[in-house]
Amino acid sequence: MQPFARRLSLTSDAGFASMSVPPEAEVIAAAIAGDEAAFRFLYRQHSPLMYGVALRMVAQNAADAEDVVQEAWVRAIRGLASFRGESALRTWLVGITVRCALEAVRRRLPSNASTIEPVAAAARRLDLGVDLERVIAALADGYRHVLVLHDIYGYTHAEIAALLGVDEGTSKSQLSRARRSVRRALEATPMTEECQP
Amino acid sequence: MSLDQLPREIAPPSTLEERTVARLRDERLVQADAHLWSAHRRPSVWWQAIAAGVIFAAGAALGAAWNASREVAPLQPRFLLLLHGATTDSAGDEQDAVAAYRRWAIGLRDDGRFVAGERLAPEATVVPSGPAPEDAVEGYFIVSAADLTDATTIARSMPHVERGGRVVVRRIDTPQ
Repeated sequence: MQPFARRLSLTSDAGFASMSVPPEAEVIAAAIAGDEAAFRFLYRQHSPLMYGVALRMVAQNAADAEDVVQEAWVRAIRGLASFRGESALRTWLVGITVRCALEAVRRRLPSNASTIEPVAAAARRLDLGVDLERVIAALADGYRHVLVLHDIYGYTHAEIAALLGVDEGTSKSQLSRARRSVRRALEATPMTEECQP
Repeated sequence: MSLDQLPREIAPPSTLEERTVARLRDERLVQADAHLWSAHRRPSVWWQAIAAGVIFAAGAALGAAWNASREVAPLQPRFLLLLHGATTDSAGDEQDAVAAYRRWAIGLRDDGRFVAGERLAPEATVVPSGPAPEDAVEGYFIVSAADLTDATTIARSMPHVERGGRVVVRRIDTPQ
């Protein structure tokens, strides 16, 4: 048997290596009171998740995603005093981010994008994760939102329904169609040279 | 690569933090010189509450901070999970174990329940001198949980248990 220390080489992204975090309630209380250092602490802790959600919800438009995260933080700090801790702070922040992202998507000019063709076109440039993101970004807004929240961020259909203002049946059917669109697009994609035997 | 392998977190551009802070300053939602909190300077929310309470009683303007802090949900109890030996059968097992611990720790962090965790080096000294206990602690986690039952549920979900290790769960005794 090897010692735990040798077996377990968790990196800092797992939050395991020499990391000590002050109690969240303490940081929240200070942020409510306007302490910039406390805000920066919360920002650095939660913004990567918020930005990941935002970027995918707005179809990889980086400028929109930055606006979404900034707006989400402003609303979060304004409303932080009403945060009751019934959910994790991260969950609460992601909820605000999703609502801001939906507003950003609605403000955009409607595109003529259909569901399948842009996905297939994107998938032809398949390059593992990077292009899987492109495939997701090419999905119609409704499909993409459900797919991102369910398959990447692990939200349930009930949670998605509440976040997006749709019913659970719609969430389920859109997820099914989104997955089918992605699968078809990927199946239609010739293997890149790197992938060939 | 499948969807569930995509990273959930993506680092935003470094300039976004300053732009966000600038907007919050413009809207008077944060102040650079508030100094109400600084990481690692205040070890306990209770000390902060006491200090803020004194300020409030003195009629200082910072009393508002105390009123605001009372809106926050009470701090959950914290528990220490002490990890004792687990077995590893092969190199492949070891890789699986590392991945499993990583997933577990990230999940816990995403739930807002992870407080701290460190692994311990195998070297140890014993005071007063004598043999070290055979079943030494190999690492620990500190998690927030509603109560001992909740913390025990967290401990049961650890890959450490699945791999034959044991986890001792102790509540951290903080003033009530």
